[in-house]
Amino acid sequence: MELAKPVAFVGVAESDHIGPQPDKTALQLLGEAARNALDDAGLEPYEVDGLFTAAGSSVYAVSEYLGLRPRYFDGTNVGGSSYVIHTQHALAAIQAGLCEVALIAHGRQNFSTRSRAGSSWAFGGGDPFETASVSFERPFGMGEPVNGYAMAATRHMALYGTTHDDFAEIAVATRKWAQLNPKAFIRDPLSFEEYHASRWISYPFHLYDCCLLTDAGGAAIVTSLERARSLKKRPIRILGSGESTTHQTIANMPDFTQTPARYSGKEAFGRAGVSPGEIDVAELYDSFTYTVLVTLEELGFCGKGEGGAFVRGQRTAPGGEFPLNTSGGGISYNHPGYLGVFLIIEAVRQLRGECGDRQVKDAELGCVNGTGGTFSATGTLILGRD
Amino acid sequence: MMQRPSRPLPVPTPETEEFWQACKEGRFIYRHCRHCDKSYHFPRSICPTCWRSDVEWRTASGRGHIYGYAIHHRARPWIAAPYATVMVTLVEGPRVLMLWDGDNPTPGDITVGAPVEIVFEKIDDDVTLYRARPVSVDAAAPVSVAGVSA
Repeated sequence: MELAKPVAFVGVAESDHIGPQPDKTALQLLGEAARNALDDAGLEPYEVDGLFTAAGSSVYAVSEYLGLRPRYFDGTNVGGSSYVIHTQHALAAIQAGLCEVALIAHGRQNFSTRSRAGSSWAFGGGDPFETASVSFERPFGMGEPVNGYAMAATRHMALYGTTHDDFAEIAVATRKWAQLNPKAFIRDPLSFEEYHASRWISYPFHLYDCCLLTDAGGAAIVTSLERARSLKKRPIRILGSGESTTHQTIANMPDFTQTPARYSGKEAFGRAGVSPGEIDVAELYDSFTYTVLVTLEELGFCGKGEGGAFVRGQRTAPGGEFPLNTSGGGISYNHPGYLGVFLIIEAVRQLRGECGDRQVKDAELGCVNGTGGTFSATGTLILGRD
Repeated sequence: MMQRPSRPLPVPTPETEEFWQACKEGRFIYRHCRHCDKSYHFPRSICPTCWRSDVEWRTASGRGHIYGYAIHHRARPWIAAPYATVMVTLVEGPRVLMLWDGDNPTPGDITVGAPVEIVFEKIDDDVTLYRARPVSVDAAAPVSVAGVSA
């Protein structure tokens, strides 16, 4: 393999002990192994910027447990082969300059989870990958994303004077784009009055602040530019990308008025050599209107706390200065869960010029931002026409 | 408070058993790393800053302030709507999610930045949880932020 950047292992270690350890948890054993591997390498946790794991319930559960804010992460889980495969993924990431120090880490208790028959620990008797969410969120009234996103929104309102009208601007504008999209699920006009009259879901969110529930599939294909130029349509290049996760459970969100997009966006724009002001069309995950508002700030389209002012006067609607969520978004076009791929689909179509009535004129540069979990992780892409 | 069926309950683990036991005793305890001098929640036996195991329990004063909140209008089998969840920043530093201790909350009842205190909620003989309730401004006198060693 000819690598522009040869890659090497520098630290390897197990947890402090091996064998029955019913007085510890799987992630605790992972943490011990990670610490020991750092010691073997002569590194500290703050130097780790990539995380690869098939432990716990999800990669961001492990990342949160370790207090990490990785700039590259991978939770590929194909059973016992996972970590060998993670090594190839780490090699590729380091090659591409997406991270520098990759932690590949595991912790599991095949002994203890079977031996505690009848206890909440045993298979079938509870969650062997107990997460902080099971114990510190669900018993306290949380259970759906709306519960958490709404809690962050009230802080933004308190600190920056963001209002229900500001959220309404996003809902109303997004619906106008849906009216121009034959594939959108809801295409009736939405007025400010109807928005304010709609029932509360989780205050401060009304019904029309929340994304739809639909069933759908979505797919995207990426290849080398060389191969792309030999295929059917005009290639849309990925000029820059970034990803970030800061937490899993909302109590560990570093700041309720920020999101990981401040990190993934900075990387994506930086790698693309593009500034936010150059973007012609943006597709920003709209799980809720507030998600969009705060993301506009975090990506640098406006200043911190200025999201409300930015969207006022229907700036993001068809005909406005900042074309945003031009398919009608998760709020009006489609949201089967995990909207990110649909943001990509719309951005690619806009840059190709395939959007008919909702086509943004002369769209050459696009920005896609996906937000997942409870503001837990983001991915940002800067796209451009070939 | 009348108990409704099927409230999800915490699953105590070797890392959190002591925390849930302390709740039964009316104490809110949290982890502190002696190496980093950093406090954190949820409890982990590995410090999330240095990944070492030199950690101790400390007891919180029970006081904090509201960092953020929401009022939920969809009931669950075990709780009537509307009910509120609040994120509480303890005076000792860590943030903790709690249910608001009040029926039929409205936005006027809950203010970001307002002082609160923890009240314990006995669910049954095995489980005690906790809620946040408002304190008057007078009662929210400054307390030591170092906490008290358990």
